[in-house]
Amino acid sequence: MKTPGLLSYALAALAAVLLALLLAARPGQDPTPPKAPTFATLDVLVDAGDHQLAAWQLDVTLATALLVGIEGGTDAAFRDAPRYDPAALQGGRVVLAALADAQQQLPNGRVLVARLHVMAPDGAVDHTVRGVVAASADGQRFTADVEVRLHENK
Amino acid sequence: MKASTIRDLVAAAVLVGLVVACAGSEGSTPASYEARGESTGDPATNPLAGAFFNDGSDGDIRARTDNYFVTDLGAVIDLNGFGQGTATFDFGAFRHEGKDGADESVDELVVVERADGTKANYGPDRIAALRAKVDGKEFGQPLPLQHTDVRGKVALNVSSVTVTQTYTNPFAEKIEAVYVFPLPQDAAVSDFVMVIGERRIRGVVREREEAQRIYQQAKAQGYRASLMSQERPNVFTQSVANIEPQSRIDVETTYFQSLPWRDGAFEMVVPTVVGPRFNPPGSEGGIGAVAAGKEGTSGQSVEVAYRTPEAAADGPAIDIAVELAAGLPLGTIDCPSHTVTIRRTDERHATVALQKGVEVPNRDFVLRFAPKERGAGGAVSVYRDADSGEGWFSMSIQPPLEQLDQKPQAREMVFVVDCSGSMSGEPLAACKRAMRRCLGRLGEGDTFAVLRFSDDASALDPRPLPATPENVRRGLAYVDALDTGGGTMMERGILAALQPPIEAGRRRIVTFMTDGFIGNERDILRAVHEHVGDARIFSFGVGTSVNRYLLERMADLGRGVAAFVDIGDSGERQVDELFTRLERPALADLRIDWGGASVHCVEPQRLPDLFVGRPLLVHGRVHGALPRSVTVHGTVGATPQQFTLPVAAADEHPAIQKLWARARIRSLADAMAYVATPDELRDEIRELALAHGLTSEFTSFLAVDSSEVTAGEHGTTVVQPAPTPRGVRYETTVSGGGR
Repeated sequence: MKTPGLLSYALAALAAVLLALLLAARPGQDPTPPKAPTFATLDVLVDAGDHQLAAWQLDVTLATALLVGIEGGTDAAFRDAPRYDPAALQGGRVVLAALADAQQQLPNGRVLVARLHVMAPDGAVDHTVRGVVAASADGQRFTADVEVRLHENK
Repeated sequence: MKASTIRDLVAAAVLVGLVVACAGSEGSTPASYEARGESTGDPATNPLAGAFFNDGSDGDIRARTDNYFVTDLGAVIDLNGFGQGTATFDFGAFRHEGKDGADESVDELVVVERADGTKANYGPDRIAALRAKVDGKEFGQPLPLQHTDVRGKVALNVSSVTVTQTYTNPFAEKIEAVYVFPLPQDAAVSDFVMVIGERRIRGVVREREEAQRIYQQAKAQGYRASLMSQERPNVFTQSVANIEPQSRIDVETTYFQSLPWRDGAFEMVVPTVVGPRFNPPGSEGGIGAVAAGKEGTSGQSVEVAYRTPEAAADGPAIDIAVELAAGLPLGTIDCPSHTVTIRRTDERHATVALQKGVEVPNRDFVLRFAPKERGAGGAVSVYRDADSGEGWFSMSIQPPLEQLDQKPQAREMVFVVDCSGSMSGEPLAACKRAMRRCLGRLGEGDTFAVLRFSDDASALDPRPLPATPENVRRGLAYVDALDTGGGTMMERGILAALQPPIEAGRRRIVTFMTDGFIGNERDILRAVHEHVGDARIFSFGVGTSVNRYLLERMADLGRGVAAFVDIGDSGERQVDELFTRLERPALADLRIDWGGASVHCVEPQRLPDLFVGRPLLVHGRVHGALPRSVTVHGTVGATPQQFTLPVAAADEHPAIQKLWARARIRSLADAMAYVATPDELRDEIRELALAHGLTSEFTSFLAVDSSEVTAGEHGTTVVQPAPTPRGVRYETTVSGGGR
């Protein structure tokens, strides 16, 4: 009578293991907790070349990241945080614009004009830049290069 | 702890003469406790220095009440909210930074630790506070909000106001500061900047739940973040996460507002404190009023913590300065609420400012100013989108009603006096003065009723009485005998005033006299909407920090107007203006003929009655040009009337677009109180607010500094308590007595 008992125990153990494996394999039951979103900072650099940069406007589209703050640049003329278009933001576009502080000397060359603070639910901060407009103090538009790059956070 | 340090401390503390700040009756909270630690530093300059416990015995406790321990050296440990149980007192580092940035001294701050070892103290998730009295001067508990600065600019009748709140962390660990504060009910809050040192981070508007979620994520991960959410059109919650010890974060909030013309002057009101609200039993969505340290006990979704009047006197100050540029030569400038300095820079410009650093934010700041001459007709401000040609405008219309001469309708005057606990003392006295004036102004053909409400409603007489001299005397005696106590069951007062049938041929005029300190505004507005019928409501806000949102909306629904009486005011002017309005016929059933101009989306959609001294302010959108004149049609009694008014040359103002959106949101939000299916309204409010970058019930401002993770855990939450409004009794509104 002992052998059938051992077999029963073995079968029961096997069934338990199979059940556990089955439960673990069920879709939607991933025991891994959802990954916390990450925060990141994007530097916005405008290269005004030989022009003195008095105003700029920029259109950035964020793929999946969400804008959570806008900071001014490091140059004294663009220290104040740029303005944004709230209506465009609803469509995922970040349209920014800033006028230089009239009390400060206008910069030229490559200027850090803004920082974008973003939250990336999936960790990615992919973006595309378009519609760059730069102008000098006399209101003349000029061609400027722009770079939006990931800032190395502390 | 070094023994020598302790000895030095004892000597220093005794030398400066720390005295007992609070010695009440014996209490029982907590059941047992242990104290250890010390504090260093110069007590002459640092009120936190000098307090210490030795070794956990009761011997160091001089007095004990339900809420405080007082040490032998006079330090007061405030245990509000700590609750029953075993407590251990310990000390955290409290550093002072020297001029060169190095630690100049190391002081220590009492921190209360629960028996289970959690750092949470001073309530389930609060930091302990230490209060001391040095040479007779009481130092309040350390609080995160250090100062509020209000800068206003008025161009024509549009004000732009920036409120800067300065938060610091006086504690030894990181904190989140939370502060519930007021803004004007029709303010278009359009900008929000978090300032960290020289860095300025502009916030963005997001859906409320999304903003809350992002803020919580940022907070949990150690990022500095700020969140501002609207609880009522005039009540907001500011949260600032991860303020490191001894560091500072400023939050700048900017709003625009169309200033109303009120009885001879433009009026600008800056509210500074949210009055303690009453919430009917069983409600959960109200605004609770709790004593500082007892957060989480009201059962309401929003709470305002209040300091005792003694402690509030030592609270953070508010500075207010306003630049006036009305566009026309300025006439009178008056600030009935505060003592101010008025400096006229030229004929058209002036600045008005409070004396710096001395005012506690415990009452509304009211500024009235008028141009020397005011042009007739419609004053207009406009904003145009250069690309689309679409325009937004704001127009103030005032027909010359003074010219009308027609006998007004027979009246049934109903006076409803709020006798709840919050009206105790000076507010009720102000009500009585105003009521005496009202009864003295009744005409021979009037009938009148006087009602009171708190927990219930009762009346001078079951029926309205003819305004005979004898009945007026009865009314005066009834008013003199009014007393306060109980809750603000305002709905009962509304039903008592509006439900009884009215004599044919009479117009019912209802005057509510109240501070409006309730948390269920939407219930009240629904009741008014359902029962107002053909009655007119003239609400009288009484007090220093009235719930103007409620009072204005009640008057809007009742096609009347609101007026406000300060506690020090005789109320005579406001009552006389009320009777002037009643004696001069209003222009009702208004319609505006825009003269063929393509005007649309006009707010308010349902135009109110027009009264002498209260112009109609409309916001709208226009394709193409505005008309050169508008024609206002209406009726006085049963007689049609019309006025054609010139439209002044429009002044450009960039805020007009946002002011229109705010007016539209206000209409939709009001309608949510009484429509059966508010979902569509909710969606429209959300879309409008997001598109125009405005706060609303469903959108919040959020700013995160993602560039740096602060060290350590996110710390504990410290609720910034507010002072009790001036003239309001703390004991009848906050601590439960009578409410």
